[in-house]
Amino acid sequence: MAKTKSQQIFEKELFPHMEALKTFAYHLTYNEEDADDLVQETYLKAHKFIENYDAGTNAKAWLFKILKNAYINDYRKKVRRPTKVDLDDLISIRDGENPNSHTFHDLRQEIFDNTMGDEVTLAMNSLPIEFRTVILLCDIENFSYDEIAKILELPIGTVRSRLFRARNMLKEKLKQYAINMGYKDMRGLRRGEYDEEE
Amino acid sequence: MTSFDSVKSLRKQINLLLDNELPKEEEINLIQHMENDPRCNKIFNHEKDFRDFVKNNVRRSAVSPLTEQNIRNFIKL
Repeated sequence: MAKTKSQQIFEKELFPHMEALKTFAYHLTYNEEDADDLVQETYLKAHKFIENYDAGTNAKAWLFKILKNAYINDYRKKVRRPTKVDLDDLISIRDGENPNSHTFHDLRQEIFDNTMGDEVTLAMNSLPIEFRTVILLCDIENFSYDEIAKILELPIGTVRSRLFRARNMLKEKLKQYAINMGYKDMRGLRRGEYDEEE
Repeated sequence: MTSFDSVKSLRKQINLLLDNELPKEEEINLIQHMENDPRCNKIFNHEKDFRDFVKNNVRRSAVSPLTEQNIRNFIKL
């Protein structure tokens, strides 16, 4: 069966960015499943609004903007809802049983596994979201300032200054780890002091 | 040759250079400045190393096969 035009656009222009979208979504949500849901939501919205996309233009920036909006409009509202608790589970816990003990153990192991050697990700995820996003878009995904300004709907000057601050914040978070890895912090030094760093 | 009133402004310029966001004339001036000032060149290398370090170590994540299949199935409808 011949593919429709929109299917061809998805195959050629939109699907190749799935992993980049997932990485961005993961750093927004800190959660693999939520990040998968956010990527899925992004593609469903892209499908719905495919008429708004000009084939052959900047597919990656278009998808990232959809994902960012989906995160702000849908995901953040969803996670603000109070969590429902099963009364039977509460009773079991009170009586000394943990109905999710196996899951709980696995979850702790997963957190431990993901934490070791993952300092950059932890440092990145500890940044306020407005700083995290600009680093992800610029340094990880190689978007230009103009593209970032359009994705985040910010003035380009704000992108520029936010990036500079974000990188400084990230350096601060990674300072000790970076020193151990051989990186030297050159900030705050006056000219003429560099030679002493050797 | 360009002069920089502080290390901070120099670092800002170097960051713009690395981001390919510096106007052409300023880019040429800064590169000339770096060629004549090894300390400036050192800052450039540190900034570049830091970016490479972050880029190479940040966690990347692939969509689960099930999610990818769901997406592809939906698009085929």
